[in-house]
Amino acid sequence: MDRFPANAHNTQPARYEFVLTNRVDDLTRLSEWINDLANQLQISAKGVFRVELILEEAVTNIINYAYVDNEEHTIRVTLLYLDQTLTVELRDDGIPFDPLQRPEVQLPKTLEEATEGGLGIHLIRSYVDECHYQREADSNVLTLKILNWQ
Amino acid sequence: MTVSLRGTREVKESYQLVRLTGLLDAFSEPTFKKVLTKLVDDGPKNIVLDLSKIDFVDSSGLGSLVLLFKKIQTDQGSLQIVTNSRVTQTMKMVHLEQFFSLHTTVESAVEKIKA
Repeated sequence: MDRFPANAHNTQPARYEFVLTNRVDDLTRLSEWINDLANQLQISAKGVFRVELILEEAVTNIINYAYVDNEEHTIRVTLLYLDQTLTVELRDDGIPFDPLQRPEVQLPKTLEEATEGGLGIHLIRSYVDECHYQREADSNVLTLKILNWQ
Repeated sequence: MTVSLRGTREVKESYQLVRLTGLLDAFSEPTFKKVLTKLVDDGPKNIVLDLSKIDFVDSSGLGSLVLLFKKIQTDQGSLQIVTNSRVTQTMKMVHLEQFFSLHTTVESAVEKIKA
């Protein structure tokens, strides 16, 4: 884990980075990393759960939809943390893929309506305060912000 | 190979108790689906699924639970889920908790099957 701590005046966010591949078994490493980091930052169990869920959902979306080949790719996760505001940036080199453009899922009213997929982006939207996508050069950049992360 | 989900199984006369620990996510979900489908096929069809020690469930895991629940209903069995606050919270975010039979203890889940 690379860490670039905040300066003495705490005007710059602490920065943490994690790099994983587009293999689903790397989700386990991602989970371990965010749990270790949150423990180090003394984040509550509720806060850990919240960021772990949005990271897993966002990375799973990238793995499932951003690649059209069978090659190994790199996904870079960057966390910026200042004054209890957490900014999560996910950067991948896949084809243009904006998960925020996916239609809002209709939550099921009956068991028959309940489906196996499509709930991930709803969970992300539910647990973040701001979300933003942009295409930068050959990369997808998804930015998620959680206010009052503690 | 990384293993993110582990489990045990106890077969009783009228039900089987499956206890899981770890992560029920996009990585472990295919194995979960395959194994649980076989267990239901093997019987008994009444399942007590203990997720109280699960650290984390994501939308992939929830999707598998929906499929499992539908299969068990089709097979005329019963699925009782022992949950914890994290799992329940995720279910509530996508309105799935209303369809599942949720319990806070294994004893409560077993009682429901025997009722």
